[in-house]
Amino acid sequence: MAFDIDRYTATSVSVNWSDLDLESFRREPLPEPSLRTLRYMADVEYHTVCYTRDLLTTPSHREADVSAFMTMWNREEFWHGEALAAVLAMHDITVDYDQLKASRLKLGWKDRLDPIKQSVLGGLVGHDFVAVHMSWGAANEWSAITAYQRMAELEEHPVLAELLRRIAKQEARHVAFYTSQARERLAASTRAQKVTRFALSRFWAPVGSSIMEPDEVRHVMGHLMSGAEGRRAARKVDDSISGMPGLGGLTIVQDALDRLGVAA
Amino acid sequence: MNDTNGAVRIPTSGARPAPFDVRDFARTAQGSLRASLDLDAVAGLPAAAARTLRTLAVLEGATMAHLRNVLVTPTHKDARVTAFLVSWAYEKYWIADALHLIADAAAPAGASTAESAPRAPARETGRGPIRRALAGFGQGPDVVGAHLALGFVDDLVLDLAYERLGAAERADGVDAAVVLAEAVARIRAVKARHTRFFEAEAAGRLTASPRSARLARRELARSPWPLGSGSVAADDRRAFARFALGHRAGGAGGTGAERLARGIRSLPGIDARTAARVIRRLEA
Repeated sequence: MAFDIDRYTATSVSVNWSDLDLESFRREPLPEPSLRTLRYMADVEYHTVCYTRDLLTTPSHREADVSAFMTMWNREEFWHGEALAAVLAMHDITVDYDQLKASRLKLGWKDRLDPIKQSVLGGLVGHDFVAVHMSWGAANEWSAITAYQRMAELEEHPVLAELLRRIAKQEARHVAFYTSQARERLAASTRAQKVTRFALSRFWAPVGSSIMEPDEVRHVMGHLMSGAEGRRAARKVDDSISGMPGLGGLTIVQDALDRLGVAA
Repeated sequence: MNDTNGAVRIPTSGARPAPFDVRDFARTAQGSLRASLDLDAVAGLPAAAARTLRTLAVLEGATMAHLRNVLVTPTHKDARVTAFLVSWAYEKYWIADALHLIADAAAPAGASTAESAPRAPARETGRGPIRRALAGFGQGPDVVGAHLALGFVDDLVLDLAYERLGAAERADGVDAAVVLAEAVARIRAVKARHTRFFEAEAAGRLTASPRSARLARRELARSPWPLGSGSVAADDRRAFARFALGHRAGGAGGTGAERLARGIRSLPGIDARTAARVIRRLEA
Protein backbone atom coordinates (compact mmCIF):
# COMPACT_ATOMS: atom_id res chain seq x y z
CA MET A 1 0.00 0.00 0.00
CA ALA A 2 1.36 3.42 -0.90
CA PHE A 3 2.45 5.63 1.99
CA ASP A 4 0.52 8.90 2.15
CA ILE A 5 3.31 11.42 2.76
CA ASP A 6 0.98 14.43 2.99
CA ARG A 7 -1.11 12.74 5.63
CA TYR A 8 2.02 11.76 7.53
CA THR A 9 3.52 15.27 7.54
CA ALA A 10 0.16 16.80 8.53
CA THR A 11 -0.21 14.47 11.52
CA SER A 12 3.41 14.24 12.67
CA VAL A 13 3.68 15.34 16.31
CA SER A 14 6.24 15.16 19.06
CA VAL A 15 5.48 12.27 21.40
CA ASN A 16 3.49 13.44 24.42
CA TRP A 17 4.18 12.35 27.98
CA SER A 18 2.81 15.35 29.90
CA ASP A 19 -0.20 13.31 31.09
CA LEU A 20 1.93 10.42 32.38
CA ASP A 21 2.83 10.15 36.03
CA LEU A 22 6.60 10.18 35.76
CA GLU A 23 6.80 10.71 39.53
CA SER A 24 5.90 7.02 39.79
CA PHE A 25 9.53 6.29 38.87
CA ARG A 26 10.54 7.93 42.17
CA ARG A 27 8.34 5.45 44.01
CA GLU A 28 9.16 2.47 41.77
CA PRO A 29 12.54 3.14 40.19
CA LEU A 30 13.78 0.99 37.33
CA PRO A 31 16.70 -1.36 38.04
CA GLU A 32 20.19 -0.34 36.93
CA PRO A 33 20.45 -2.71 33.91
CA SER A 34 17.16 -1.29 32.57
CA LEU A 35 18.39 2.28 33.03
CA ARG A 36 21.52 1.36 31.10
CA THR A 37 19.34 0.06 28.25
CA LEU A 38 17.12 3.16 28.35
CA ARG A 39 20.19 5.38 28.22
CA TYR A 40 21.34 3.50 25.11
CA MET A 41 17.92 3.95 23.53
CA ALA A 42 17.90 7.69 24.30
CA ASP A 43 21.37 8.15 22.82
CA VAL A 44 20.38 6.26 19.68
CA GLU A 45 17.26 8.39 19.23
CA TYR A 46 19.25 11.60 19.63
CA HIS A 47 21.82 10.29 17.18
CA THR A 48 19.26 9.72 14.42
CA VAL A 49 20.82 12.70 12.71
CA CYS A 50 23.96 10.61 12.12
CA TYR A 51 21.94 8.14 10.09
CA THR A 52 20.21 10.98 8.26
CA ARG A 53 23.59 12.28 7.22
CA ASP A 54 24.50 8.93 5.67
CA LEU A 55 21.18 8.80 3.85
CA LEU A 56 21.73 12.30 2.54
CA THR A 57 25.04 11.51 0.88
CA THR A 58 23.41 9.30 -1.69
CA PRO A 59 20.79 9.88 -4.38
CA SER A 60 17.99 9.43 -1.80
CA HIS A 61 18.00 13.08 -0.82
CA ARG A 62 16.92 14.14 -4.28
CA GLU A 63 13.55 12.61 -3.86
CA ALA A 64 10.85 14.92 -2.58
CA ASP A 65 8.89 12.40 -0.50
CA VAL A 66 12.07 11.17 1.14
CA SER A 67 13.03 14.72 2.13
CA ALA A 68 9.60 15.42 3.59
CA PHE A 69 9.62 12.15 5.51
CA MET A 70 13.11 12.69 6.87
CA THR A 71 12.23 16.14 8.17
CA MET A 72 9.38 14.75 10.28
CA TRP A 73 11.14 11.48 11.14
CA ASN A 74 14.17 13.30 12.52
CA ARG A 75 12.02 15.44 14.74
CA GLU A 76 9.92 12.53 16.03
CA GLU A 77 13.08 10.58 16.88
CA PHE A 78 14.58 13.62 18.62
CA TRP A 79 11.48 13.76 20.82
CA HIS A 80 11.74 10.06 21.59
CA GLY A 81 15.18 10.92 22.96
CA GLU A 82 13.70 13.74 25.02
CA ALA A 83 10.94 11.46 26.39
CA LEU A 84 13.42 8.77 27.43
CA ALA A 85 15.66 11.48 28.91
CA ALA A 86 12.69 12.59 31.04
CA VAL A 87 12.40 9.07 32.48
CA LEU A 88 16.14 8.96 33.11
CA ALA A 89 15.93 12.35 34.82
CA MET A 90 13.54 10.82 37.35
CA HIS A 91 16.44 8.55 38.29
CA ASP A 92 18.80 11.54 38.52
CA ILE A 93 20.48 10.67 35.24
CA THR A 94 20.91 13.80 33.17
CA VAL A 95 21.23 13.62 29.40
CA ASP A 96 22.39 16.96 28.09
CA TYR A 97 23.64 18.12 24.74
CA ASP A 98 27.21 18.55 25.96
CA GLN A 99 27.37 14.91 27.04
CA LEU A 100 25.98 13.79 23.70
CA LYS A 101 28.58 15.91 21.98
CA ALA A 102 31.31 14.21 24.02
CA SER A 103 30.12 10.76 22.95
CA ARG A 104 29.98 11.83 19.31
CA LEU A 105 33.54 13.12 19.53
CA LYS A 106 34.65 9.61 20.51
CA LEU A 107 33.42 8.17 17.23
CA GLY A 108 36.78 8.73 15.54
CA TRP A 109 37.91 7.72 12.08
CA LYS A 110 35.22 5.20 11.33
CA ASP A 111 32.59 7.87 11.69
CA ARG A 112 34.56 10.31 9.60
CA LEU A 113 34.90 7.85 6.78
CA ASP A 114 31.29 6.75 6.76
CA PRO A 115 29.85 9.58 4.65
CA ILE A 116 32.65 9.10 2.14
CA LYS A 117 32.10 5.35 1.94
CA GLN A 118 28.39 5.87 1.57
CA SER A 119 28.91 8.45 -1.15
CA VAL A 120 31.30 6.30 -3.09
CA LEU A 121 28.97 3.30 -2.88
CA GLY A 122 25.97 5.47 -3.73
CA GLY A 123 27.85 6.88 -6.72
CA LEU A 124 28.87 3.44 -7.94
CA VAL A 125 25.53 1.75 -7.46
CA GLY A 126 23.43 4.77 -8.40
CA HIS A 127 19.69 4.83 -8.05
CA ASP A 128 19.44 1.24 -6.80
CA PHE A 129 21.31 2.29 -3.66
CA VAL A 130 18.14 3.99 -2.43
CA ALA A 131 16.65 0.49 -2.02
CA VAL A 132 19.49 -0.39 0.36
CA HIS A 133 18.78 2.65 2.52
CA MET A 134 15.07 2.02 2.61
CA SER A 135 15.47 -1.67 3.49
CA TRP A 136 18.09 -0.79 6.08
CA GLY A 137 15.78 1.82 7.56
CA ALA A 138 12.92 -0.71 7.67
CA ALA A 139 15.14 -3.24 9.47
CA ASN A 140 16.20 -0.60 12.00
CA GLU A 141 12.66 0.61 12.67
CA TRP A 142 11.31 -2.96 13.00
CA SER A 143 14.03 -3.74 15.51
CA ALA A 144 13.37 -0.48 17.39
CA ILE A 145 9.69 -1.36 17.78
CA THR A 146 10.64 -4.84 18.94
CA ALA A 147 13.13 -3.42 21.43
CA TYR A 148 10.53 -1.07 22.92
CA GLN A 149 7.95 -3.87 23.11
CA ARG A 150 10.44 -6.21 24.80
CA MET A 151 11.43 -3.49 27.27
CA ALA A 152 7.77 -2.92 28.18
CA GLU A 153 7.17 -6.66 28.66
CA LEU A 154 10.26 -7.13 30.79
CA GLU A 155 9.69 -4.18 33.11
CA GLU A 156 5.95 -4.46 33.68
CA HIS A 157 5.96 -0.80 34.75
CA PRO A 158 2.61 0.70 33.61
CA VAL A 159 3.91 4.24 33.01
CA LEU A 160 6.99 3.06 31.14
CA ALA A 161 4.85 0.62 29.14
CA GLU A 162 2.49 3.41 28.06
CA LEU A 163 5.33 5.74 27.07
CA LEU A 164 7.06 2.99 25.09
CA ARG A 165 3.75 2.10 23.43
CA ARG A 166 3.39 5.70 22.23
CA ILE A 167 6.94 5.75 20.92
CA ALA A 168 6.51 2.38 19.19
CA LYS A 169 3.31 3.62 17.57
CA GLN A 170 5.28 6.41 15.89
CA GLU A 171 8.02 3.97 14.90
CA ALA A 172 5.31 1.87 13.19
CA ARG A 173 4.60 4.77 10.84
CA HIS A 174 8.31 4.99 10.07
CA VAL A 175 8.26 1.28 9.23
CA ALA A 176 5.32 1.90 6.91
CA PHE A 177 7.28 4.56 5.03
CA TYR A 178 10.50 2.57 4.75
CA THR A 179 8.79 -0.66 3.73
CA SER A 180 6.59 0.98 1.10
CA GLN A 181 9.67 2.62 -0.41
CA ALA A 182 11.80 -0.51 -0.12
CA ARG A 183 9.19 -2.89 -1.53
CA GLU A 184 8.56 -0.71 -4.55
CA ARG A 185 12.24 -0.27 -5.35
CA LEU A 186 13.14 -3.89 -4.72
CA ALA A 187 10.23 -5.16 -6.79
CA ALA A 188 11.30 -2.96 -9.71
CA SER A 189 14.93 -4.08 -9.93
CA THR A 190 16.73 -7.39 -9.46
CA ARG A 191 19.95 -5.44 -9.21
CA ALA A 192 18.51 -3.48 -6.28
CA GLN A 193 17.57 -6.80 -4.65
CA LYS A 194 21.09 -8.18 -5.07
CA VAL A 195 22.82 -5.06 -3.76
CA THR A 196 20.43 -4.82 -0.79
CA ARG A 197 20.77 -8.49 0.06
CA PHE A 198 24.55 -8.17 -0.04
CA ALA A 199 24.63 -4.98 2.05
CA LEU A 200 22.23 -6.23 4.74
CA SER A 201 23.81 -9.67 5.11
CA ARG A 202 27.36 -8.31 5.18
CA PHE A 203 27.09 -5.02 7.04
CA TRP A 204 23.87 -4.77 9.05
CA ALA A 205 24.31 -4.62 12.83
CA PRO A 206 21.85 -3.74 15.61
CA VAL A 207 20.80 -0.10 15.72
CA GLY A 208 23.35 1.90 17.67
CA SER A 209 26.31 -0.41 16.91
CA SER A 210 28.08 2.31 14.96
CA ILE A 211 27.76 4.93 17.69
CA MET A 212 27.88 3.04 20.99
CA GLU A 213 30.64 1.05 22.70
CA PRO A 214 30.53 -2.74 21.96
CA ASP A 215 29.94 -3.47 25.67
CA GLU A 216 26.80 -1.34 25.59
CA VAL A 217 25.51 -3.09 22.45
CA ARG A 218 26.08 -6.48 24.07
CA HIS A 219 24.35 -5.38 27.26
CA VAL A 220 21.26 -4.09 25.46
CA MET A 221 20.94 -7.06 23.13
CA GLY A 222 21.46 -9.48 26.01
CA HIS A 223 18.93 -7.62 28.14
CA LEU A 224 16.20 -7.45 25.52
CA MET A 225 16.78 -10.28 23.06
CA SER A 226 18.18 -13.24 25.02
CA GLY A 227 16.27 -16.36 25.96
CA ALA A 228 13.38 -18.02 24.15
CA GLU A 229 11.16 -14.92 24.15
CA GLY A 230 13.95 -12.65 22.96
CA ARG A 231 14.86 -15.01 20.15
CA ARG A 232 11.23 -15.34 19.14
CA ALA A 233 11.06 -11.56 18.84
CA ALA A 234 14.27 -11.53 16.76
CA ARG A 235 12.83 -14.18 14.47
CA LYS A 236 9.76 -12.05 13.93
CA VAL A 237 11.89 -9.12 12.78
CA ASP A 238 13.83 -11.41 10.45
CA ASP A 239 10.57 -12.77 9.04
CA SER A 240 9.45 -9.22 8.24
CA ILE A 241 12.74 -8.33 6.55
CA SER A 242 12.91 -11.55 4.56
CA GLY A 243 9.34 -10.99 3.41
CA MET A 244 10.48 -8.14 1.16
CA PRO A 245 11.10 -8.82 -2.54
CA GLY A 246 14.36 -10.67 -3.12
CA LEU A 247 15.34 -10.81 0.57
CA GLY A 248 13.88 -14.27 1.36
CA GLY A 249 15.88 -16.35 3.84
CA LEU A 250 17.80 -13.43 5.42
CA THR A 251 18.28 -13.83 9.19
CA ILE A 252 20.31 -10.70 9.90
CA VAL A 253 18.99 -10.04 13.42
CA GLN A 254 19.51 -13.59 14.65
CA ASP A 255 22.95 -13.66 13.02
CA ALA A 256 23.87 -10.43 14.78
CA LEU A 257 22.77 -11.85 18.14
CA ASP A 258 24.91 -14.93 17.52
CA ARG A 259 27.91 -12.77 16.67
CA LEU A 260 27.44 -10.84 19.92
CA GLY A 261 27.21 -14.09 21.89
CA VAL A 262 23.67 -13.38 23.12
CA ALA A 263 22.28 -16.52 24.80
CA ALA A 264 19.42 -18.17 22.91
CA MET B 1 12.99 41.53 16.29
CA ASN B 2 10.44 44.18 15.49
CA ASP B 3 7.42 43.61 17.75
CA THR B 4 4.86 44.73 15.22
CA ASN B 5 5.75 42.69 12.18
CA GLY B 6 8.25 40.09 13.34
CA ALA B 7 10.96 41.62 11.18
CA VAL B 8 14.50 40.52 11.77
CA ARG B 9 16.73 43.36 12.77
CA ILE B 10 19.86 43.57 10.68
CA PRO B 11 22.52 44.27 13.27
CA THR B 12 24.83 47.23 12.97
CA SER B 13 27.34 46.22 15.64
CA GLY B 14 28.54 43.10 17.40
CA ALA B 15 25.52 42.79 19.70
CA ARG B 16 25.39 39.92 22.21
CA PRO B 17 21.86 38.44 22.36
CA ALA B 18 20.74 36.38 25.37
CA PRO B 19 21.76 32.69 25.31
CA PHE B 20 19.47 30.67 23.06
CA ASP B 21 17.44 27.91 24.73
CA VAL B 22 17.51 25.05 22.19
CA ARG B 23 15.24 22.84 24.25
CA ASP B 24 12.60 25.57 24.50
CA PHE B 25 12.91 26.19 20.76
CA ALA B 26 12.31 22.50 20.06
CA ARG B 27 9.36 22.44 22.42
CA THR B 28 7.67 25.45 20.83
CA ALA B 29 8.55 24.83 17.17
CA GLN B 30 5.91 26.18 14.78
CA GLY B 31 4.21 23.52 12.67
CA SER B 32 1.79 24.02 9.80
CA LEU B 33 0.74 27.60 9.06
CA ARG B 34 -2.19 26.50 6.88
CA ALA B 35 -4.93 27.36 9.36
CA SER B 36 -3.75 30.99 9.48
CA LEU B 37 -3.76 31.51 5.69
CA ASP B 38 -6.63 33.22 3.90
CA LEU B 39 -5.91 31.80 0.47
CA ASP B 40 -9.06 33.11 -1.20
CA ALA B 41 -7.93 36.65 -0.48
CA VAL B 42 -4.51 36.48 -2.13
CA ALA B 43 -5.62 36.07 -5.74
CA GLY B 44 -4.44 38.90 -7.94
CA LEU B 45 -1.08 39.64 -6.33
CA PRO B 46 1.43 41.35 -8.63
CA ALA B 47 3.44 38.93 -10.78
CA ALA B 48 6.76 39.92 -9.20
CA ALA B 49 5.43 39.11 -5.73
CA ALA B 50 4.08 35.72 -6.84
CA ARG B 51 7.37 34.88 -8.52
CA THR B 52 9.35 35.80 -5.40
CA LEU B 53 6.99 33.75 -3.22
CA ARG B 54 7.56 30.71 -5.39
CA THR B 55 11.32 31.11 -5.29
CA LEU B 56 11.25 31.61 -1.52
CA ALA B 57 9.17 28.44 -1.19
CA VAL B 58 11.83 26.41 -3.01
CA LEU B 59 14.67 28.00 -1.03
CA GLU B 60 12.97 27.44 2.33
CA GLY B 61 12.24 23.82 1.40
CA ALA B 62 15.83 22.98 0.47
CA THR B 63 16.85 22.09 4.03
CA MET B 64 17.85 18.49 3.39
CA ALA B 65 20.48 19.41 0.81
CA HIS B 66 21.93 21.98 3.22
CA LEU B 67 21.84 19.50 6.11
CA ARG B 68 23.80 17.05 4.02
CA ASN B 69 26.45 19.66 3.31
CA VAL B 70 26.97 20.51 6.95
CA LEU B 71 26.44 17.07 8.50
CA VAL B 72 29.19 15.34 6.53
CA THR B 73 31.62 17.62 8.39
CA PRO B 74 32.41 17.80 12.13
CA THR B 75 29.30 19.97 12.56
CA HIS B 76 27.28 16.75 12.99
CA LYS B 77 29.13 16.07 16.23
CA ASP B 78 27.84 19.20 17.88
CA ALA B 79 24.67 17.92 19.57
CA ARG B 80 23.44 21.42 20.42
CA VAL B 81 23.66 22.53 16.80
CA THR B 82 22.10 19.33 15.40
CA ALA B 83 19.28 19.53 17.97
CA PHE B 84 18.59 23.05 16.69
CA LEU B 85 18.76 21.98 13.04
CA VAL B 86 16.13 19.25 13.56
CA SER B 87 13.49 21.80 14.59
CA TRP B 88 14.84 24.41 12.15
CA ALA B 89 14.22 22.01 9.23
CA TYR B 90 10.75 21.26 10.57
CA GLU B 91 9.77 24.93 10.78
CA LYS B 92 11.19 25.67 7.35
CA TYR B 93 9.27 22.73 5.88
CA TRP B 94 6.02 24.33 6.98
CA ILE B 95 7.12 27.81 5.88
CA ALA B 96 7.80 26.37 2.42
CA ASP B 97 4.41 24.68 2.49
CA ALA B 98 2.66 27.99 3.28
CA LEU B 99 4.60 29.85 0.58
CA HIS B 100 3.72 27.24 -2.05
CA LEU B 101 0.05 27.52 -1.13
CA ILE B 102 0.06 31.31 -1.25
CA ALA B 103 1.94 31.34 -4.57
CA ASP B 104 -0.47 28.79 -6.05
CA ALA B 105 -3.47 30.78 -4.85
CA ALA B 106 -2.01 34.02 -6.26
CA ALA B 107 -0.72 32.27 -9.41
CA PRO B 108 -0.87 34.87 -12.18
CA ALA B 109 -0.35 32.78 -15.32
CA GLY B 110 3.22 32.69 -16.61
CA ALA B 111 4.51 34.65 -13.65
CA SER B 112 7.16 32.14 -12.75
CA THR B 113 9.24 29.32 -14.09
CA ALA B 114 10.39 28.29 -10.63
CA GLU B 115 9.59 24.81 -9.37
CA SER B 116 5.90 24.71 -8.52
CA ALA B 117 5.75 21.31 -6.83
CA PRO B 118 6.02 21.36 -3.06
CA ARG B 119 9.18 19.83 -1.59
CA ALA B 120 11.07 20.40 -4.82
CA PRO B 121 14.08 18.10 -5.03
CA ALA B 122 17.51 19.70 -4.86
CA ARG B 123 19.97 19.86 -7.69
CA GLU B 124 23.67 19.63 -7.04
CA THR B 125 25.51 22.86 -6.36
CA GLY B 126 29.22 23.29 -5.85
CA ARG B 127 31.17 20.74 -3.86
CA GLY B 128 29.72 17.28 -3.28
CA PRO B 129 29.67 15.35 0.00
CA ILE B 130 33.00 13.62 -0.56
CA ARG B 131 34.92 16.85 -1.03
CA ARG B 132 33.16 18.44 1.91
CA ALA B 133 33.76 15.42 4.17
CA LEU B 134 37.44 15.30 3.20
CA ALA B 135 37.79 19.03 3.84
CA GLY B 136 36.08 18.47 7.20
CA PHE B 137 38.97 16.21 8.30
CA GLY B 138 41.32 19.17 8.32
CA GLN B 139 38.85 21.81 9.41
CA GLY B 140 37.78 20.09 12.63
CA PRO B 141 35.28 21.70 15.02
CA ASP B 142 36.21 25.21 13.77
CA VAL B 143 34.01 24.61 10.73
CA VAL B 144 30.88 24.69 12.93
CA GLY B 145 31.20 28.48 13.31
CA ALA B 146 31.50 28.83 9.54
CA HIS B 147 28.32 26.83 8.98
CA LEU B 148 26.46 28.93 11.53
CA ALA B 149 27.64 32.07 9.73
CA LEU B 150 26.18 30.66 6.50
CA GLY B 151 22.83 30.16 8.22
CA PHE B 152 22.88 33.71 9.54
CA VAL B 153 23.73 35.31 6.20
CA ASP B 154 21.15 33.23 4.35
CA ASP B 155 18.51 34.43 6.79
CA LEU B 156 19.58 38.04 6.14
CA VAL B 157 19.27 37.55 2.37
CA LEU B 158 15.84 35.95 2.52
CA ASP B 159 14.61 38.50 5.02
CA LEU B 160 15.26 41.31 2.54
CA ALA B 161 12.81 39.63 0.18
CA TYR B 162 10.26 39.08 2.94
CA GLU B 163 10.58 42.69 4.01
CA ARG B 164 9.89 43.93 0.51
CA LEU B 165 6.95 41.58 0.06
CA GLY B 166 5.39 42.87 3.28
CA ALA B 167 6.16 46.56 2.72
CA ALA B 168 5.16 46.87 -0.94
CA GLU B 169 1.84 45.23 -0.39
CA ARG B 170 0.95 47.36 2.59
CA ALA B 171 1.55 50.48 0.52
CA ASP B 172 -0.80 49.19 -2.18
CA GLY B 173 -3.58 48.79 0.35
CA VAL B 174 -5.31 46.04 -1.63
CA ASP B 175 -6.98 43.16 0.25
CA ALA B 176 -4.64 40.57 -1.23
CA ALA B 177 -1.72 42.73 -0.22
CA VAL B 178 -2.83 43.06 3.38
CA VAL B 179 -3.37 39.31 3.69
CA LEU B 180 0.08 38.64 2.22
CA ALA B 181 1.67 41.15 4.60
CA GLU B 182 0.12 39.33 7.55
CA ALA B 183 1.36 35.94 6.35
CA VAL B 184 4.83 37.35 5.73
CA ALA B 185 4.91 38.84 9.24
CA ARG B 186 4.06 35.43 10.71
CA ILE B 187 6.80 33.77 8.68
CA ARG B 188 9.35 36.40 9.70
CA ALA B 189 8.43 35.88 13.34
CA VAL B 190 9.14 32.14 13.01
CA LYS B 191 12.41 32.82 11.21
CA ALA B 192 13.55 35.45 13.71
CA ARG B 193 14.39 32.71 16.19
CA HIS B 194 16.57 30.93 13.60
CA THR B 195 18.43 34.15 12.89
CA ARG B 196 18.95 34.79 16.60
CA PHE B 197 20.43 31.32 17.09
CA PHE B 198 22.71 31.56 14.05
CA GLU B 199 23.86 35.05 14.95
CA ALA B 200 24.62 34.34 18.60
CA GLU B 201 26.29 30.98 17.97
CA ALA B 202 28.33 32.22 15.01
CA ALA B 203 29.43 35.37 16.83
CA GLY B 204 30.60 33.37 19.85
CA ARG B 205 32.58 30.87 17.80
CA LEU B 206 34.06 33.38 15.38
CA THR B 207 35.19 35.55 18.27
CA ALA B 208 36.73 32.60 20.11
CA SER B 209 38.64 31.23 17.14
CA PRO B 210 40.43 33.22 14.41
CA ARG B 211 40.59 29.99 12.41
CA SER B 212 36.82 29.66 12.59
CA ALA B 213 36.53 33.24 11.30
CA ARG B 214 38.91 32.43 8.45
CA LEU B 215 36.87 29.34 7.51
CA ALA B 216 33.70 31.44 7.70
CA ARG B 217 35.15 34.03 5.30
CA ARG B 218 36.04 31.25 2.88
CA GLU B 219 32.68 29.45 3.14
CA LEU B 220 30.76 32.72 2.74
CA ALA B 221 32.77 33.70 -0.32
CA ARG B 222 32.44 30.37 -2.14
CA SER B 223 28.87 29.27 -1.30
CA PRO B 224 26.04 29.58 -3.81
CA TRP B 225 23.69 32.34 -2.68
CA PRO B 226 21.01 32.08 -1.55
CA LEU B 227 21.69 28.63 -0.03
CA GLY B 228 19.55 26.09 -1.84
CA SER B 229 19.55 28.11 -5.05
CA GLY B 230 20.61 24.96 -6.93
CA SER B 231 16.91 24.10 -6.85
CA VAL B 232 15.88 27.37 -8.52
CA ALA B 233 16.03 28.18 -12.23
CA ALA B 234 18.76 30.72 -13.05
CA ASP B 235 16.26 33.34 -14.26
CA ASP B 236 14.23 33.07 -11.07
CA ARG B 237 17.35 33.28 -8.93
CA ARG B 238 18.43 36.50 -10.65
CA ALA B 239 14.94 37.96 -10.39
CA PHE B 240 14.93 37.07 -6.71
CA ALA B 241 18.28 38.78 -6.13
CA ARG B 242 17.10 41.95 -7.90
CA PHE B 243 13.91 41.93 -5.84
CA ALA B 244 15.77 41.49 -2.54
CA LEU B 245 18.86 43.63 -3.10
CA GLY B 246 17.46 46.49 -5.13
CA HIS B 247 14.79 47.51 -2.66
CA ARG B 248 15.30 50.72 -0.71
CA ALA B 249 13.48 50.54 2.61
CA GLY B 250 12.08 53.60 4.32
CA GLY B 251 14.44 55.58 6.57
CA ALA B 252 18.19 55.82 6.18
CA GLY B 253 18.84 52.09 5.80
CA GLY B 254 19.97 52.26 2.17
CA THR B 255 19.39 49.57 -0.46
CA GLY B 256 19.00 45.89 0.35
CA ALA B 257 22.54 45.28 -0.83
CA GLU B 258 23.94 47.97 1.48
CA ARG B 259 22.04 46.66 4.47
CA LEU B 260 23.04 43.09 3.70
CA ALA B 261 26.69 44.10 3.54
CA ARG B 262 26.37 45.74 6.97
CA GLY B 263 24.70 42.63 8.38
CA ILE B 264 27.45 40.35 7.07
CA ARG B 265 30.17 42.65 8.42
CA SER B 266 28.54 42.58 11.86
CA LEU B 267 29.90 39.04 12.31
CA PRO B 268 33.24 39.07 14.14
CA GLY B 269 36.17 38.68 11.74
CA ILE B 270 34.09 39.07 8.59
CA ASP B 271 35.34 41.92 6.44
CA ALA B 272 33.89 44.15 3.73
CA ARG B 273 35.64 42.11 1.04
CA THR B 274 33.80 38.95 2.09
CA ALA B 275 30.49 40.83 2.17
CA ALA B 276 31.17 42.15 -1.34
CA ARG B 277 31.90 38.63 -2.60
CA VAL B 278 28.61 37.33 -1.19
CA ILE B 279 26.72 40.13 -2.93
CA ARG B 280 28.60 39.55 -6.19
CA ARG B 281 27.61 35.89 -6.10
CA LEU B 282 24.03 36.85 -5.41
CA GLU B 283 23.98 39.22 -8.35
CA ALA B 284 25.79 36.86 -10.75
